[in-house]
Amino acid sequence: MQIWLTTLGFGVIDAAVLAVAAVGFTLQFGVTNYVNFAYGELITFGAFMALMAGGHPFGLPIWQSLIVAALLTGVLSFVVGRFVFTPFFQRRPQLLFALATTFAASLILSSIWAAVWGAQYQELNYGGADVHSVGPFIATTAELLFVVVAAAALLGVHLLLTQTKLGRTMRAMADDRNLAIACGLNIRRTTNLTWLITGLLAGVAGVIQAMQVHTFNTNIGSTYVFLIITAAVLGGIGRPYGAVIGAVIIGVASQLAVLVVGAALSPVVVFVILVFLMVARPTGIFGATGRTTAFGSA
Amino acid sequence: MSALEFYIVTVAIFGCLNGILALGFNMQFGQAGIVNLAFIVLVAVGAYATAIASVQPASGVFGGTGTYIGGFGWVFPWNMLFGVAATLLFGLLLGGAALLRLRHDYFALCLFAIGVGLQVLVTDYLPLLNGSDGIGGMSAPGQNVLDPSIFQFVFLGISVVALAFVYFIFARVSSSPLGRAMKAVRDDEEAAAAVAKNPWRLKLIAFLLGSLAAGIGGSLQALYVGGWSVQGWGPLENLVLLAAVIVGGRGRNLGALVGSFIVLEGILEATRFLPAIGDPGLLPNLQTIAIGLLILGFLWWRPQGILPEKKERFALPASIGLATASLTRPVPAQAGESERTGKKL
Repeated sequence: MQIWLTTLGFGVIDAAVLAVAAVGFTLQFGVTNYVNFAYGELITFGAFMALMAGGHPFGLPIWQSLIVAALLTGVLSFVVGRFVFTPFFQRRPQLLFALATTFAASLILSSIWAAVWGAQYQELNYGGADVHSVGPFIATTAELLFVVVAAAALLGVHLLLTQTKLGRTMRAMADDRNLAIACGLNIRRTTNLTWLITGLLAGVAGVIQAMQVHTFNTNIGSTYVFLIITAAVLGGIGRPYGAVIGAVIIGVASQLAVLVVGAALSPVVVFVILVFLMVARPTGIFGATGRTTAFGSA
Repeated sequence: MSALEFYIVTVAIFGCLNGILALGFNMQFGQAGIVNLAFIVLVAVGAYATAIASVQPASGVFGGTGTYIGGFGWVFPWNMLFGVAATLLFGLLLGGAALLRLRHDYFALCLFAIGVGLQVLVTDYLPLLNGSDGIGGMSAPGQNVLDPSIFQFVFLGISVVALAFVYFIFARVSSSPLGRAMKAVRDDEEAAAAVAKNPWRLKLIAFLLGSLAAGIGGSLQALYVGGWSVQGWGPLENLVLLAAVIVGGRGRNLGALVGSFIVLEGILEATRFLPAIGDPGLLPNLQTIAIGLLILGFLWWRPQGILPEKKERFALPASIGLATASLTRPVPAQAGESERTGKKL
């Protein structure tokens, strides 16, 4: 019993790290109604920005690196979204081309990262490696801090969505985009700010993801994008709270799977969840925004 | 055969094989509007299935290196047929389960995630397909007995025959009512459904045809290269196929072939001869960036590609001709064009 609870604890930590990225991903889908395949590359960018901010010649401590990385990733997301994606989708509004564009953009970005930073593994360390145990749960100081950072980011998103006008506009656009346009909401400004905010979340996610795995290279974003997509789809794509639930389920399930089937097969569990979702309930737990099915909503 | 001739024949073989893959991707993407970003997974299934059908069992006395399932030790063409059958079955499972009600990009997203997930699974779980080392030690038909130069030509012949076979089938489908129905589903699914075309069934047929091409192409590639591993299938290969179809002209079989030739032979081979700039790892990244920019450029300026899709033309029925005799303005003979002036409406 003890080991199950410990594993559950690990799962919650994994979930916290995953939740930030999943929420960012799903928020962006909700507002713009197309998938951004380049999201994984933003996460990589965040991790490397923190690395560079912490190293020579800046040498910032970890908290400032985190903030700098998040801001820079937000800016990159805004630049790509506003100057590449938005013009493309205005000119070629078919969904088919939207996919091809974001897919091509994700590979261009991933090649740029590989060209600039190479494929060798880097390390991002906070140093808080002392272990605490509360009952059956074991965690290092660093891991507890990830949970705190993730919780703070998610709380920020919650406050944004419920208390601010921008957040309400984002929710309106996710629920019914045409009605939002008809009501005269400022779609352009909201979309631009969404790029910025989801970029911030991607940056934060990248940094804590990198710190959690300790060693990472330029593939970190594309390796995790599989889990992020599954978590977002599980919760109902476009629904931020669903993404959090989805991340918790994925995080806990993959850690428990390590106990049951071993570490090599644990991605299979996530994979099986995704296949099951697609077959049985493609809209996810809370139902997806926009149109996910061919005719109307499921 | 000189080194240059050898090189040219090798390039031609890969050109044919990639042409087959481009045709398959075009059938799914260009004609039926299915954005299958896991197309390369279908290719990999074909390749791996052929591999496990060809090599000896992993634990056997004559076994290859590593651990993997299967190992039947069959020869050509049985191993290739096994590969193609496995791909079709996999395509049926994938398409049948997922295509049912999903919108384009939602489906693409899930398929992309499945593709990455399968890659992770194969890499991590060694007993399945030997992880990132892959399965090797296969030999193509005649490779062991024939002189290398002659073998090259023989395999080129096999590739050309396979390409012609796939092209013939796909051309027949495209110009048939089935092909037109698929294009209708691609253009406007609701309208197609409103005239009693079953979108799911049509998309599934396109998906299976694409899987057929993927199986043939992947199987032949595995046979020629002598093995297959995880490095051979990733998002980059999918990007190359996507570029081929967009550049060449989506929805048109010849366009897919032209695009495949331009992207693969043109860009990849031409950059091979550039002087090395920077460190060796830079060149593949530059190639990827170039292909990505090519896609973006074509999507912006010429999304129909180099060889655009042919507009369907139907003869005006005679009865309508009589009825319009009394009209003062001519009735357009085909949608979007005025018969009298020939200008597009």
